Amino acid sequence: MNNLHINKIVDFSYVDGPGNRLVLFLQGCNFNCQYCHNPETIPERKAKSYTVEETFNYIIKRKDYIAGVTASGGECTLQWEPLMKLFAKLKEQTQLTTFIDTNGNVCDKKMDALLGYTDGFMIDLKAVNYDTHKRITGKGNEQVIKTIKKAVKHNKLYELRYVLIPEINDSKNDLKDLANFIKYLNAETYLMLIPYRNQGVVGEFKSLPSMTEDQYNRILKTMYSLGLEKIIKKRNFFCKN
Amino acid sequence: MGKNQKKILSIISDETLTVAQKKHFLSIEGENMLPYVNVSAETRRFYEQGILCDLYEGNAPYRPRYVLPDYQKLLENGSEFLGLKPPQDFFEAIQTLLIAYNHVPSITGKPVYLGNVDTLLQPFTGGVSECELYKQIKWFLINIDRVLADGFCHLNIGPYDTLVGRMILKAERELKQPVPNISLKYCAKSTEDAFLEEAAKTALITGKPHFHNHNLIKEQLGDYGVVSCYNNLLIGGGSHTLVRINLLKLAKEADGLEDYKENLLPLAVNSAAELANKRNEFLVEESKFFDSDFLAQEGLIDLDKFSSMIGIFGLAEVANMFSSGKYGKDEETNKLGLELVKLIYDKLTEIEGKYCKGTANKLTLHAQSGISEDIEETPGTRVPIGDEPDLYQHLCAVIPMHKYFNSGISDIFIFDQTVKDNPKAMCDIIKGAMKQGIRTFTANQKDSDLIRVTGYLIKKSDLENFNSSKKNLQLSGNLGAEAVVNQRILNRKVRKLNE
Repeated sequence: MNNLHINKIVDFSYVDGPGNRLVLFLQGCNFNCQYCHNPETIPERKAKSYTVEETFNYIIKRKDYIAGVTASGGECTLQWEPLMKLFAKLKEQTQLTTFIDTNGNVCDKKMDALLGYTDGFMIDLKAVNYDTHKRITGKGNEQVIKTIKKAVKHNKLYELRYVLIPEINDSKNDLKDLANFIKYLNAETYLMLIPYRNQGVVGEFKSLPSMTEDQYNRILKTMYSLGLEKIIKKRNFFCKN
Repeated sequence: MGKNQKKILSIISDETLTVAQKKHFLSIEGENMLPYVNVSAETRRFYEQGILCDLYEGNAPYRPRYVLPDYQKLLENGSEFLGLKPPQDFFEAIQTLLIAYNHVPSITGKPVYLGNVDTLLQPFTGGVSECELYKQIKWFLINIDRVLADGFCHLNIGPYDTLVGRMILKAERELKQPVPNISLKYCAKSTEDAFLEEAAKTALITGKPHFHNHNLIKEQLGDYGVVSCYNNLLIGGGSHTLVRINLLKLAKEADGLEDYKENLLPLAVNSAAELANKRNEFLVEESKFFDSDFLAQEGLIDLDKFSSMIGIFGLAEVANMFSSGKYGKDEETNKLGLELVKLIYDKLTEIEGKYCKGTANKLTLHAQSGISEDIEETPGTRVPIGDEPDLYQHLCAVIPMHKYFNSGISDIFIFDQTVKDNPKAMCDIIKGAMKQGIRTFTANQKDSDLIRVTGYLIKKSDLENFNSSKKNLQLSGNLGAEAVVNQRILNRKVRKLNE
């Protein structure tokens, strides 16, 4: 696969890593999350095909305005070969930083290949508990945890992302597991706690209520009391539905 | 009762104006008892039809529109007229500035330029505790907001990172006042990233400072200040007057684009220049401002550093009128806009500007940000409110215009709330825009309590007061409220996450 299959390009994003970033939403995903907000990025179709060169040229035009490029999705590591080529070219010819936003379900070989050209990873952890993870994504979390550990080992885990879904992965035990896991990682990383919102959800979780600001603040308090205050990044916007 | 008397009575009995505001309007009526400066029949026709407009400066100019005293000189020498010796410490320096501000004339009756305050005050900070410095700076800003009380009072900081500059930014975040207007001079070489980030954080809360391309402006102008909305003029100088051309109204008289470009635009530029020059002459020769005012006598201003501005507005509507695309979004329409700007710029450089030594005896071009009564026309060369494309496209569309506007231009870029947690992102965009040649970058954050009107700010409560016929401390609050209604300012496009 030499081309990148891109569902959407956002020229300027303020929520996908450090500074202002151009985000490539690559098509295709190997999870089937019950609350996916971008279900259109799951199937293989519906994407435009760009050569690495074309994508590179698109980015270059905007390079003065951005700190770097973030590959997201879908699950961008499915397209690891052209993505690696793109990142290699960016590293060779620009000062831009390269970030990957992944669900962590990427095999060691691909991860090792990408590590050489990627400055930072934002990895989603849907749940620490295996069964909960399976319920949410349809798959277990062994590989995800391996990927997280690998990113930490290379000092490249920029942000761990956890979507707080009411009644699914936000119990006291879930939060405790999450805190323990992060402490165990002993990484210099952010924990981005994202409140679940049901707007745009088509899967089974559609009937779940969005997290309210009150609920979210209570959870923050719990996480602070578990000693994570310094690393938590808040999402300050809530759905008004 | 005659027409003029009725007008005066209506000012006197207006319950929405403070006494000071009444005096301001009464003085205009007094001035306008004199005939308008003498201009040709063609120019008079343009003026009477509203194609040319002097923004109600008055019939017989007796003070320049904008004055930029050399406050550095004031702090070094003191002032004989004001009875002030050179200040010896921070407290005295601040008092010296505050006293001087009250004696600096302008078209609004309030000083439009407050100096590069961080550079001015930083040398006086020795021996003062940070706590005391902050308190004094905060009250200095409160004094400006309550006493000068005018959104066109403009304070400059930068390009260097100073403690005073940081404290001004911090205090502004805390105070959230509409006054003073603030500009940061940004230079890639001298402005540290951390200082820019402080400014971005402040802009995300208050909409100020504006960010200016220090190198570009300095190269074109020299030692400049940013005043009023975002006008770039020489320190120690200023602008005698501002005459603006309503590009749309003019276009409505045109028999097609060619007629507009070849006949009407050159004619209107000529007339605007004539009007400005006549006003310059009256100010200098008849009112003898520069012979008699203490600022000139004490060398705090110098006639040789003055100029006058020719403003344009409504470019977007003209570009839309003569093309099939939409200005801001369509490349061909943008190109047409740029072509018209170049044409005006070139024409203007052919004409002599009287008493305009500050800009090599030429009048200087300004993208005029509009006044409250403009309904159909978009300020300057801006993209109409609601038509703004993606930020990247928006930047690409407007930046090529910026170098032609020697006396100032600004586009307002609106950020959604996600940037609040990531001010570095705003810094990246500002730095990129500067590299690409933007002159002035103005940011607005949708949820701010302050509303950016044209170049200045008002409070949301000013708008509420105005709507319920209550007095506003700042006259600019009233002007702004009118503009909010007429120009749909609250409809500026905000891009949502994942849009």
